[in-house]
Amino acid sequence: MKNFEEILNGMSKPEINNLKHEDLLAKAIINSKSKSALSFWWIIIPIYIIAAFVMKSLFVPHNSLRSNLTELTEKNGYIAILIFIAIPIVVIIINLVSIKNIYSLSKNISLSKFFVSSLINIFIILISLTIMLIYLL
Amino acid sequence: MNLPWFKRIGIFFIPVSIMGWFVMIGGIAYSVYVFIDIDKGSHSVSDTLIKFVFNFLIICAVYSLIAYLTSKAPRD
Repeated sequence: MKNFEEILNGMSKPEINNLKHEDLLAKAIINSKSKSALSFWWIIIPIYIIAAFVMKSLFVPHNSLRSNLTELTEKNGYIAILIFIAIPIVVIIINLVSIKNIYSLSKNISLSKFFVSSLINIFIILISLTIMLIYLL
Repeated sequence: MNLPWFKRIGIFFIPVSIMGWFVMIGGIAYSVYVFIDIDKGSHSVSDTLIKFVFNFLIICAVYSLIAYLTSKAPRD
């Protein structure tokens, strides 16, 4: 009993100098920027092909983006699906996971700050969806 | 194998270790090989560039994937 009283008297208020939550959020934001850099280099491949087809449709008569995409699909079906469907889907998944990680750690931060920190990820997701729509429609 | 091999600056991954430099030099060497190979069978400069840029983008994408996976320090 005396030991218990000594223990209680010797207890002090815990002091938290370093908030682990802020470190986790900082790491999540840095990781999301690395993922967006990686996504940029992969999504630029279908963007380059679409840009080349648009240029071809502008400067070569009797050509359109639709006819060029159809021709590419007929000649190299698997490569077209890989470039215009698989790569954008993987990029969307990677960026959605980044946004989800930031969102789960940023509950005390305003909505505007959350959008600013994940703006590039949202932009890359929109570009990927646009590429898929251009190919599918 | 001491991680990290690369450090990200903006959208570029810069090598920070010897293995990172090996990967970068290997990518550059393969790009030069692909360029010479494409140029041998091309009819004009624009023909070479159109074919080379697509291959170069794929090389950059693979390089960025390797750099991303090796840019994080191992967890203690």
